[in-house]
Amino acid sequence: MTMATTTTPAASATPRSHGTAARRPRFVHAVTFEWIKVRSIRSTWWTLFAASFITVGVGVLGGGHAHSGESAALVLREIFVGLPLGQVAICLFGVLAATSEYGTGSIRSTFTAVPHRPRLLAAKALVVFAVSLVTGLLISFATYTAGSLALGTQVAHPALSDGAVLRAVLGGGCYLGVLGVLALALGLVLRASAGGITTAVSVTFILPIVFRMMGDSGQPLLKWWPTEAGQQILLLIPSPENLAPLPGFGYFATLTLVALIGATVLVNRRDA
Amino acid sequence: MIEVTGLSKRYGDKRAVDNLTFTVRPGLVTGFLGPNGAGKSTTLRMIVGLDRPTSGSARVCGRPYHELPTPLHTVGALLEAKAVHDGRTAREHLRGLAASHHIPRQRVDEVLAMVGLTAAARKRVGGFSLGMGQRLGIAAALLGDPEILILDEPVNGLDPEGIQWVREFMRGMADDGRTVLVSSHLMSEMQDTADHLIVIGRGRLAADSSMADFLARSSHNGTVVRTPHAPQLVPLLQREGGTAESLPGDASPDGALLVRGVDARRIGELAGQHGLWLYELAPQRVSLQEAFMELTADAVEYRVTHSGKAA
Repeated sequence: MTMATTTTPAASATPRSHGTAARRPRFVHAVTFEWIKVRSIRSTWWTLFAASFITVGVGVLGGGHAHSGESAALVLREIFVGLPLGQVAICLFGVLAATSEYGTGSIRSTFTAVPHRPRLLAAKALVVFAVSLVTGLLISFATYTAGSLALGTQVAHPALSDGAVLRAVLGGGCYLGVLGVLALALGLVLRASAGGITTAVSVTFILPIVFRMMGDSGQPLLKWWPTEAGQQILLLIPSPENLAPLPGFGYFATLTLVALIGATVLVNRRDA
Repeated sequence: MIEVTGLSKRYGDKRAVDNLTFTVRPGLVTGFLGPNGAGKSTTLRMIVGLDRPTSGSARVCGRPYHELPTPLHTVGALLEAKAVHDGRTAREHLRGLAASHHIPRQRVDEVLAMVGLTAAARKRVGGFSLGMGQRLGIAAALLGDPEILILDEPVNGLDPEGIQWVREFMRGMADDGRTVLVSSHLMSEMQDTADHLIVIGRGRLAADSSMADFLARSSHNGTVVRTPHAPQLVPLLQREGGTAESLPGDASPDGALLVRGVDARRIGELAGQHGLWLYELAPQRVSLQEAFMELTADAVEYRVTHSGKAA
């Protein structure tokens, strides 16, 4: 590996462009920048694969265990039983989209290229949301399809022609899309991968289990816990003690937006 | 043009950068010198808007960095080697940065070729050596063909050929009318490269002058004169405004003198006019290293206890 000693800087083929002459980059360029970064690291692909594999795989097992005599609502819950686990991988994706940049120092090249941090973070959030949403919808429909195929002949079949089933399956994908952004916000605040992942797993997976073990005293916590409220969208029959599906999801999405704005304010104030 | 005005950065009680004011002009290579921990990197990070100053301001082309319409076309910065995700390839890293400014893809291959990384373009950065990381950083700085280059310790980890390339490259950029600000803790590196020097110690400005002035001001400057007629020559020199002292550490019987304030040519003329013999007339070229050590002697934060001779 040797430097091309014969090449002098003045010999570059591109004519010298002065700051004022070049076109001013727009938001779309920040989005492209973020998209190239997300797609060019391997962790993106293995986290998304893991999310799909776990959710769909457990969904097949769940469908296989469904009994005849169970309502379609209960059967659908059994099909989506892997989601609380699979969502952890989506969280990894969202957290790493932020912390991998801090961990490697590449956040500095990023901020020198796009010094307007709110614009950059909006672009990042958009990319993370789009990737999580598309993956989430694929996972959701794949889980539904695979889980349904695994159902026994005597078992009630939740049909997509039923509006509530379609809403639940679509909603599951949207939930994962928003969850990616929530994880991104956590990653931006915490900056370190280990801390970010631990927190995200605690928020989405461990704490809800703890709340369930607390019985009645844990119920109000579960009701207002963001990810639990968001997951109500997966229920065909709303549970009386929790938020209704759409308000629950709206509450979750609103809190995510608040978290993202808070993270942006913090990042904007901090040294990189 | 980079203008730094009253720039300060405090971390708790520690003043990393303390009321710095200086200007970096186009067409010159400006060396930014200071011992380790003097605040060089912090200052550079504030210039490119990564760190917020506690007080004061840094302006690039008349604006704070974050207000530049096209930052990468204005400033190319190499702040630390490998500010890149390990798992990304060199080309993907540059393509991302290029996309942020809709710089065409061909420019990515161009800068990779300029720094000699074409063959490694598809390799993941995690496997890069320090030198390759530096080259990639320089490639990233060149991407927007910027008017201003800010390079923090650019020759770290480079082989001699790479170092030579960086020197020529900085010279070329400055001769092209661009602004080049390059930091280093290695004075020898700057001696051959920089036209102008900004020296800081403990976050404070210690010197801001041309290389020539900086060297001329050093007390190590002078002319060694060996003569059997010292008693006659010294008063002549003093009349010309010069000073003479016996050369420190010299044990020869002739009594060598270190003369300051009168140049070698004039000393020769005076000796000739008065028929005084000179056995030696040697202008001392002070090294930047010596001048720097002298200047920052009390500003070194992390001092090593053994007193190694300056190179």
